[in-house]
Amino acid sequence: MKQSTPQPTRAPQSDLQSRPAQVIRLEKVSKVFAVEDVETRALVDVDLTINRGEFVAVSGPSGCGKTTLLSILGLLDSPTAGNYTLDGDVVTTLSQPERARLRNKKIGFIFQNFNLIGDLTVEQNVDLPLTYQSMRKADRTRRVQEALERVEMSHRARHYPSQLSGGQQQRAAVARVLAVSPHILLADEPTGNLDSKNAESIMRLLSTLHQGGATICMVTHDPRYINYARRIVDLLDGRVVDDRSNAG
Amino acid sequence: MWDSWWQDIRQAARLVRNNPGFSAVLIGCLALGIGPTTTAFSLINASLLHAVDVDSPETLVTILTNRVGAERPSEGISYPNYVDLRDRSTTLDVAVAADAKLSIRSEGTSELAEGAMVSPNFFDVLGRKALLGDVFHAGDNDTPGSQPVVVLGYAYWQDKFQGSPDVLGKTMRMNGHDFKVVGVMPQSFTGQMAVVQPILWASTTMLDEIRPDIPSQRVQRNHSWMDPFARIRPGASIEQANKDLADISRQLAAEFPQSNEFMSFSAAPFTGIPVSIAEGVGQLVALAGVVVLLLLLLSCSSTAALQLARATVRRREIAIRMAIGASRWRIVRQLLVESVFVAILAGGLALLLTLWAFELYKVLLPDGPRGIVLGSSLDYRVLAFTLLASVVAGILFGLAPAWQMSRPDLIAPLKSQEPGGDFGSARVRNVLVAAQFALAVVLMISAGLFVRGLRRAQTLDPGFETERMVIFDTDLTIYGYSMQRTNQFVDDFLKRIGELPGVESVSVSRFPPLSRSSSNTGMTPIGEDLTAGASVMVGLNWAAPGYFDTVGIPFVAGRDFNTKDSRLSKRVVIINESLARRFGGAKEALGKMASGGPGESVEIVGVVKDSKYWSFGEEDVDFVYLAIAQTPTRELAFCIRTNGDADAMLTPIASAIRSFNNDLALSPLRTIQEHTRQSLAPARMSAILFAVMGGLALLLAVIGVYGVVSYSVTRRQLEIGVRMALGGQPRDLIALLVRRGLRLVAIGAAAGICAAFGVTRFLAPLLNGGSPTDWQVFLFVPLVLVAVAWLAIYLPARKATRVDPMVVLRYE
Ligand SMILES: Nc1ncnc2c1ncn2[C@@H]1O[C@H](COP(=O)(O)OP(=O)(O)OP(=O)(O)O)[C@@H](O)[C@H]1O
Ligand SMILES: [Mg+2]
Repeated sequence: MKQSTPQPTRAPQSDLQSRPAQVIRLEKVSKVFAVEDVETRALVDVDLTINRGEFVAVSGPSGCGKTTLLSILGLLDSPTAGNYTLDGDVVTTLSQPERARLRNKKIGFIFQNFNLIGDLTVEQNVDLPLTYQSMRKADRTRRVQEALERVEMSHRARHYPSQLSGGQQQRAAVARVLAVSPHILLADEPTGNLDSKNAESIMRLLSTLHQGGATICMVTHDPRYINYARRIVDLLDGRVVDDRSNAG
Repeated sequence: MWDSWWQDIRQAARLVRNNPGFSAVLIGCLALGIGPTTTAFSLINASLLHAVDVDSPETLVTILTNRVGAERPSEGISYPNYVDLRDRSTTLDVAVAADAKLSIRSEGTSELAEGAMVSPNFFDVLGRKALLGDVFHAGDNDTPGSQPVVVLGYAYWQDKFQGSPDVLGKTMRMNGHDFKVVGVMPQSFTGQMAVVQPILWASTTMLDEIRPDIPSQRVQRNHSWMDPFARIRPGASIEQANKDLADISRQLAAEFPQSNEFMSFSAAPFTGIPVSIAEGVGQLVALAGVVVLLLLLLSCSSTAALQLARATVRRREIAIRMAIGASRWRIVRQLLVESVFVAILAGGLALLLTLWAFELYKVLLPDGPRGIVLGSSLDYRVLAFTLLASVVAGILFGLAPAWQMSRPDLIAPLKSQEPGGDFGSARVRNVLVAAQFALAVVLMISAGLFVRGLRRAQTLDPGFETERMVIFDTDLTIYGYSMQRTNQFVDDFLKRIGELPGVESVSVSRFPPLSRSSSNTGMTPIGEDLTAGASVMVGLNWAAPGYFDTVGIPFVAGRDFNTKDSRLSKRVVIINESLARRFGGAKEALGKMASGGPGESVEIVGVVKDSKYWSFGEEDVDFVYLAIAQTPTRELAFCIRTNGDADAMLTPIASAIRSFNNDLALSPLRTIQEHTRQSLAPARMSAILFAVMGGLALLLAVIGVYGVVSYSVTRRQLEIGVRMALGGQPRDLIALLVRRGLRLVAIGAAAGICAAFGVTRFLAPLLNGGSPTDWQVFLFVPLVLVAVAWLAIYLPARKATRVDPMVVLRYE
């Protein structure tokens, strides 16, 4: 699967060749939530490096900081302390618009609750991130079609999310990622709302993406799906307590 | 049964408490709509519905005159007919009242005022006694000229005599005669008419002294200028009274066929509102009603839009209620209880607004010499009306959302997927928002047209001097001047003022240019080449030699009046160009004869350019000037052309008049600018009224879209978050929301423009000749509105950027 971004990018080092092997590097990253007088240390001094092409599963008990970690990796939230380097660039202190641009270019998300936009058809949902890239209409249409074919949702292109089953909705969400083909994919419990059959098919899609070269970081605590990952990171109370590779 | 209602009410209260911000906007918005309604009602209540201060109004009647061929009965009776009714009726004690123009002298100057002239039995029939001193009575000597006394109105007494009891016995010189103050009436007493308190009451025995202009009024039966009313005598009924009146009418018709043949009198229940103005008042009330109702509807639709926006947020709650078995009616009822609850809170606020507006109105009332007596601003009727208006408003604004929200759509909200979340209500809401803007556009365009009309009037050339002129008009009859004294006065005036340094010329006419009071008549050209019956209606004024020069109206042909045009010589007229065209042109008109008007045939000796005679908006008017020397009048308008600034000449002219005449009130002395400003007052008031209402409409519409957009931002948090997670830039999101909102506004504005095209033509007569389809107004006003709307959309849309993209990971 191609890795090059669909449009010419500004910086030459974002080319495939010059891209560092370390896609993600967290150094002593901490996240503290302060609600009124209560401080929650969701992440404590997390050091984590993810290389290009890795498939990492993050697991741990509820409340240990998995979603928080993912949100920081996905540039949805910023750490209270520590450093985040993405593709060799320090991204800890970027402005909102810059983060949005990076998210659009490099990061794809799959959510537990699918997060399709209810007003838009499946097709339009898949098209949405492409519209943010000012891509030509014809190119977009082609990509949307390809993506929907890959998740076997072409026949539901004109449906609205509320007219789909959970599994179909999640497949549409995966198509939305496929259309952009980001090289980092972040997934928070992608199978959490699905039955095992649908969950399996989503996991197979993620595998294919991984084989195509994408770097994947997936949060899950379902042992059945952890094994799709090649590396498993365990969190407990905001700290990394185990980081092991997984033969599969 | 009552339990469940109580439960609904408690739920409604909880909802308000838990969403204070949203509820405050709802309540404020509704109060802006209910407020004007209750204010209008409160004013009507205080002025028209509150009882006139008289004894047992149920046994009072108004006496109406029914004329054969007239559409409806009218008020008004001649003095001799009144006397006959009074003397012959066995069932009624009949009294009359009439307006009296007064000139009152005090401390060496005169002032003009409106008082009342009433029959001696007036106070006894109304059953009211003096607060101080005494009133005059029916039994008092009735012979003409025998009662040179007045009873003062409370407001005038307070104003001019500081409420001092020493006023009794004082002498007032009025219309050239001395009158003694014998009493003062209580504050609430306004006479037989509601609201307006005359400054004083004089007796009809003094008719000749107070109204010397019509010397024969004691005997003239066809001059019906007095308002009759009566008290039904004990034991009689209104039916008997009517029979009685019918009998007398028949007798009078037989005795005086010339005046009374086609006339009969009847009694109608007493209201305190004269029939002559009742119709006008009715129209005014209807107009006010339509306008406040529009505002009420507007505020209801604004709040409905807000409510619908919230509907989406509450759909899960409602779906769950319905899932556990609530019927649709039950849900609708609960939602309506909620909206009525909110509306009643708004009604409370509206009541406060009303009390405040009422005070403001009292302050703004023109403080003329008459007192205005209003009922209280708040009574049980106002309270009941406010409650009613609130309940209606609550149902109006609650019904559409309630219907929408209770649509059985159980599945969508229970699905884990957040659907578009518009709950099918988007269309209704959009229509409401668009309709609001349409209405605001119509009102604001109307206001804009008025303003343009005013501007046009200010730049328009009315055909006479508009800067260097001073006007002084007066009616010498009310000063008791004879025709001879009048002539002396005119001679003095022209001579003395003409000699004043700074005065270029001075002349006199009956009405000033652009006069509200005026006269017209039918006029038939006489001549072999003109078809018979080609009578035209012409406007009339009376002018002295030099008038046209002074006022700045140029001659087109012929000559001015001169000193040879006298009562003894041939009657001559000067006409304007428009009328001359009917004679085939200015040159052709000269020497032609015409008949009609106030006299036998007249000869056209001059033609002058057209000018504006009554208003800036009037079309071409056919106009005739009579020679003032040939038809003398005691109603005079002096026009004084000044060399320089007219304002600067007011004081010298005033003191010059004082130096040779001490009788006249100088209040009518004014510059031509002031004079024209007065003639534009109605248009100015309308412009202000429409602008205020248009502004209110705009405010409501803006609250509507603001609320809808800001709610949609809150509601679409997740959608916005997803878009941000996928790399959408904040400004794209704002643009998206603004685009959606502006589309509605644009549709509304377009509809408003179309509606305005249809509506504004009815305003044409009020626009001072401005076009009712002025394209600049039609372009500019909607643009401004769209700009304002853009702000109202942009500001809440900006909140979209503050959405934390984290919602995508943590949304419930
Ligand atoms: N916005 C916030 N404000 C305050 N505390 C927060 C916030 N978000 C997360 N937390 C706290 O941070 C800690 C980590 O939360 P996080 O959502 O990352 O856990 P998680 O591992 O994803 O749990 P789960 O498996 O249940 O999804 C929790 O204790 C949580 O209460
Ligand atoms: Mg989580």
